[in-house]
Amino acid sequence: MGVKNLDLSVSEGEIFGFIGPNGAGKSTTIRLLLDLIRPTSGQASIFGLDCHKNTVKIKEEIGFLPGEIFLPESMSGRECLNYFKGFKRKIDQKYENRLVNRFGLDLRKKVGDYSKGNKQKLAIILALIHKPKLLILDEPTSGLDPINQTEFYNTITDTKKWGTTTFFSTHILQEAEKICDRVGIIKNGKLLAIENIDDFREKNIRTISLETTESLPLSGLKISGVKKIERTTSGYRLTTSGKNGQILKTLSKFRVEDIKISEPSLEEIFMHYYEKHS
Amino acid sequence: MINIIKRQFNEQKNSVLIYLISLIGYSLLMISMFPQMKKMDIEALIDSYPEEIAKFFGESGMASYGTIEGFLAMEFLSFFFILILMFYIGSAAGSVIAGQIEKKTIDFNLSQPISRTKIVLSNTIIIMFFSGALVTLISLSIWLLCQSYNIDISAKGLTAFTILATIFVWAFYGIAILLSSILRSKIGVTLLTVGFSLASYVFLSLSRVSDKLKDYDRFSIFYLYNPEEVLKTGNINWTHIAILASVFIIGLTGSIIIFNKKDV
Repeated sequence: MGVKNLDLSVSEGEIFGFIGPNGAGKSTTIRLLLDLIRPTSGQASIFGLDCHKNTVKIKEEIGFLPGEIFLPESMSGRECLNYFKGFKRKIDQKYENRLVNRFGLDLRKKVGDYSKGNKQKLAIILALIHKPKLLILDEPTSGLDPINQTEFYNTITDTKKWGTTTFFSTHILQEAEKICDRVGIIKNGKLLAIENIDDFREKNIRTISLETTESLPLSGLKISGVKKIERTTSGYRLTTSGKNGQILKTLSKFRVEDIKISEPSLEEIFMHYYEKHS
Repeated sequence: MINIIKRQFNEQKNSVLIYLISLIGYSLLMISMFPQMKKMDIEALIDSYPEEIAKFFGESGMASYGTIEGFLAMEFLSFFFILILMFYIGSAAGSVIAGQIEKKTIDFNLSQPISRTKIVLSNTIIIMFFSGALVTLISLSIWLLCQSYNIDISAKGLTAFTILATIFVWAFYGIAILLSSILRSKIGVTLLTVGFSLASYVFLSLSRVSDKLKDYDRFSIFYLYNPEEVLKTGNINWTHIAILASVFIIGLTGSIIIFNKKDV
């Protein structure tokens, strides 16, 4: 997936979430920033430097976590750590030890013998070890269990202490809500919106599933805040935005057997933004 | 660069040792066979073969079997030795770019503060070192084995052969690393490198047999590599060396240019 007219800037010290479904162009954007691929037109810059011309200088201050972890399998965790440390200028040994302990990684094992989660942990340590100014993370928690996910969120939040900026892609909404300052929403290579995380939360996009055997009047369901009404086999599904109080009050007039309020799929959220911006 | 060189040294040393032991073993076999071979009536053997087959064995024909230089060149150094080294060169060069793309380790490597040029050059240094070391150690083992079997072989000839064979192998590295920057499969690079050396050798051999092809022998890279002559005379054709060095430099430079422009 290519990206078109992508224009966004991330401020120093912020955690910026790049949200989009698979194939939206998140990884392509990251690969452009890392000079793994080149733009057909336009340019990308980090720290005010061109990502292609100054790629080596930029990478001195970058920590990168790829979406899929492919590390040298024949090395032990320690050898792998030492190998990649060879590219960095300065390493805070105490911080390195703290990271290794935090994620509880056995560095004596061969990388090839690590589970997916342990490879992910090693890659996280490698991305953070030199206290980079910018962290670029592509789907960073995909292989982690909930405990290590929490450790990861805490570690990323900690990096703000020394002014690290984090740019990370995800398709997990709660993840973005948990740690991001701002989010950019991308679909089909186009940036649909950039939202402050508080505004994003304020939108409170939800799905309300109504279970009923009755046929409800559509006009009655067209309440302020209801963005979409769909008929399902067991009733109706409403996509809503904002506070749900008024909606629930209106629904109480109908004979509804059950009601479920859930977070909508990313697709529904993107549709919300897509409709808004088209 | 140093950490890449160290890592490549550690990763390749065992496989290089296996290549070395195998090639020394084959040298031992050949050199131990030579005294028996020398006792055979080579002239009678030549007469019993058709002219084309005799031609296939080169300018001096099967008479070469009577000398250690000719015998080693025919049975070992002309092609088998190069073929084995091509597997190493193809596989090592294939790992530098194509293999990393194939294994997807390239993303993490290229996210480090090192240029693509330095990645290629660091790997090149270690492959040049190991291939040069393989050729030198095989030449040295041939000399030592000949001494132990009381066979006279010219040290000057072996030195000249070491220089020629090393540059010849590096020229193939130039081709292999160029392929590595174009293809996305390590095995593809290895097979094409080995295949090219095989095709080139067969073409040169055919050009010696076929009157139609005899004027085209220069189109084979093996035309620049004549171990028998070098072993016997100890003289190096510096024009050939310059051509081989050019192939290496052009291949390496081309691979760096392509890799630097490549989307991975």
